Amino acid sequence: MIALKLKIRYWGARLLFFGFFALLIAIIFFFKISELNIIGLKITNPLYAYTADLEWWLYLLMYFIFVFFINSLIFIVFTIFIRNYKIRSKKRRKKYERIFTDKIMELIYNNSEKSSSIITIEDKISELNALAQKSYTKIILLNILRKIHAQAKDEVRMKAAEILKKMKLDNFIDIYLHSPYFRDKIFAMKIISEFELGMSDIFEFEAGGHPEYIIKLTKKRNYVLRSEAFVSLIKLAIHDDLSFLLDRELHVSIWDMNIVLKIFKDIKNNNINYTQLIESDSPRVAALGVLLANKHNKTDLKEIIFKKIGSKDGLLNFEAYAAFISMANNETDYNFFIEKFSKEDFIIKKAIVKSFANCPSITLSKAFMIYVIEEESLPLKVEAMKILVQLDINRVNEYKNSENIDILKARNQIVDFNLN
Amino acid sequence: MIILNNINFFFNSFFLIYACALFGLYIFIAIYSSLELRFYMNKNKNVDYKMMLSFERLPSVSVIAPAYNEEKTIIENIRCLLSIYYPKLEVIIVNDGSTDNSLPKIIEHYDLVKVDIAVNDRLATAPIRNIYKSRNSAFANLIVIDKENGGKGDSLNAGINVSNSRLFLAVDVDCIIEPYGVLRMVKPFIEEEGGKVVIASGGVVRIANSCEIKDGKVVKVNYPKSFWAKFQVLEYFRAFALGRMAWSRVNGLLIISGAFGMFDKERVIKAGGYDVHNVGEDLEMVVRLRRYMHEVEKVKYKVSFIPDPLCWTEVPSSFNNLARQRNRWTRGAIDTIFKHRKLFLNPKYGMMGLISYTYWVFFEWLAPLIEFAGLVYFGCLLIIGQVDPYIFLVLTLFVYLFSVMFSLFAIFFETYTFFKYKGLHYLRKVIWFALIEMFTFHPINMLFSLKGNFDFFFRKNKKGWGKMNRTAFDANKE
Repeated sequence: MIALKLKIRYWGARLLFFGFFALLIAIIFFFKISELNIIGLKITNPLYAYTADLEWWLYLLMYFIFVFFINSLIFIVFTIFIRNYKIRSKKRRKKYERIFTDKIMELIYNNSEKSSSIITIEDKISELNALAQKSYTKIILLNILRKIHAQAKDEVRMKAAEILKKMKLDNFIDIYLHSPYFRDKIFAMKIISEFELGMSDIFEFEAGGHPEYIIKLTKKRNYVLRSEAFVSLIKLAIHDDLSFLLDRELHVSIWDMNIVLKIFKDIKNNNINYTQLIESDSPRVAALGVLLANKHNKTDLKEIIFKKIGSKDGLLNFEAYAAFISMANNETDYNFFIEKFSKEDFIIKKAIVKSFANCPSITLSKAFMIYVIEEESLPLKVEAMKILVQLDINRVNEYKNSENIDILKARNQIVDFNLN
Repeated sequence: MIILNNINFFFNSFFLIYACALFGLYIFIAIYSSLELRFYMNKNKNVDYKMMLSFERLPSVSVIAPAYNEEKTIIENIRCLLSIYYPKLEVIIVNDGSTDNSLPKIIEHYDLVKVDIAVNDRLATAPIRNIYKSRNSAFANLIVIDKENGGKGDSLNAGINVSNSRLFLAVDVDCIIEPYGVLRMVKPFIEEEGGKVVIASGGVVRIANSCEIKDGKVVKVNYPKSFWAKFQVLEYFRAFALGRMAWSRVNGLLIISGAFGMFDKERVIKAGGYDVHNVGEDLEMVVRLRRYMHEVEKVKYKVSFIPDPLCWTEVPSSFNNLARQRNRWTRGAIDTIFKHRKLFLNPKYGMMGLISYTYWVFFEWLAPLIEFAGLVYFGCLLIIGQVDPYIFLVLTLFVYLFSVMFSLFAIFFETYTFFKYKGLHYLRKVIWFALIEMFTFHPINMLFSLKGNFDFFFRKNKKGWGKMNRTAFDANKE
């Protein structure tokens, strides 16, 4: 029923839109003829006496005046209608958000405290189900559950998933996944991937077929839909080797990189083929590979990563340096780094110096900062001094009597900013 | 008589064709914008912007706000800028040689001290007197530059020189920015739609006159009380919701509001920074930046546009201030058009040369001039008794109803999408102002534009900004 409603709404709106335009065009012809005969039904043009003798351009002007007038009225009526609808729906949404949040929190809290009986929990679920009869209430409920599941940990997270399971909303989610509106598909994919519907232990018996359909969505022309489908598949551990990124047609944006990074932030045991990613032809995919290898501390990939230093692609180059900063641990590495660094342009240099704030080796960091302060331009000296002040304040003080004016300037700036 | 008839025929045809082209384009742009806006709304319906705060690879942003004699509002304005949510943000206030107490007030309120900061002067600016930072760690990301007067563009250039970030957001200091405004503006830069490099993004500016402001945030949106500001609400609806979205979609956006626009700093520096001699520096900057991309970098790029209302600003509420603003806009546009005349119908510059620039010439710069010529022509016909009252009425009704319909569509679309104004009182008023606009605000606006043309071509003061009186935000004023 919901599926049918969605389809009617989707196609109905389009039909109405085109019907309206068709009507506007039909009117042009109608008012120029005396009578219209549609399957035996005669419609007389009441304005024929007036329009028959009008010159064509004047007739067109009259026609447009009529259209503009009608449209103006329509827009006024629609504005009032939409205004009232939005006010009503906002109130309604707020009301249900409050009710659902209270009920869910009560359910999770009582459940985790194990203070209520199974019957009470079932009753509360029934209560929730009774409240979430309409589509919009179900959407509100699902969004609340999704947010709780995404933000909470351990038991509370589990409880949120169990509530969803007990509410038996799989069919509803499935309908939204197959909805003609892409916003509904995105909504459904977010729920499916968050709760790993059809994949996790809790949901393995329900909602089969989601991944297959989501895979189809990765081929869509709509880039938003495609991107969301990939994220869902990664979350569902279907594309968690990230091999799909090697597809030459696919552009990986910084946004995508952040999303992937967020998903894999804490998952060190995964199926990612780092080497394949790092050696990809696409600099963006290679940068992501380096970034992930760095995050997951894959020191065995040091050699391949170092080869990417000096890459023409700014981001890949930077990520390779950042990985080096985390992985380098001997003098050879350091010398290699200094040699490459001195050839870089200002922006990359600045980003590298900044990223040394996260370097695990204090000795390496200190040596590098001193090198930058003594050898590089003023803005870089300032950046290096900022980090050095955290590592060795005495060393910064030693620059007080430096004969190099730029070093003095950088030191004064840092002292002014950080110590006063 | 034959000659007169021929002249009549020529002028009648010219004005009719021009008007039809203009109306046709308006309708096309409006429909295209609406569809694009719907796509944008659907696309971002489930986006959690707060999630972006946890992204590891976000570009750093400097908010650069030039200030000149803003003592009445400056403290509140800076507080608003400091309350923006963004993990890598610095706020740079550029005191452009104010002659009032702006600077002492800021120093006192934000506990500022002079610092010996290293300035990377890649863009030439008027001399910087001092740079200040706060001793209070709560304002650690605030930098105040005190420099000699050089205009808005010059102040922005000084801010760019001091900026440490990859992107910068140029704002008017009196703007109220929505807390997640910067996150939304940054999104296109990291989203890289279609693999294109985003060089700038513009946001929707809304009118803050009469709105209730608390702690640097708009807490209640009110329809302005000022007669002139009421018209500008309508004007902003049309310009932002029904215009720029379409231009952005076809990658032909030429203007990003000077009150709220984000740019790739390095590219702006490479393009030469803001033109300090142009009073329409916002338009000129975008045009030059785009030219730089076509002529130097030659990579696929995009100037993005965010339709969400992210920035609230005070618009002129008095006739004189409005006149000065429109005059300046006109002079800025003409200056830019002449400076970049190479673009005119030039396919080398793609959509910008063939469509956007040409549109600006014919329908932004020349429209008021042609309209005025039309009125003069009509006056002549009236004098020699060549006006058919019936045709005149039909034509007037045609133009009037088109303008009303277009405005009503803009109002409808605002309600349908962002719904910032809610009261019935507002609705009644705004519809009423849409009905009277053509006979009140529009002709006056045309005269301002004519004056701008006159000043640009025949007067020496083609670069002047004119004085704009500021009032502190207060819902009860006006």
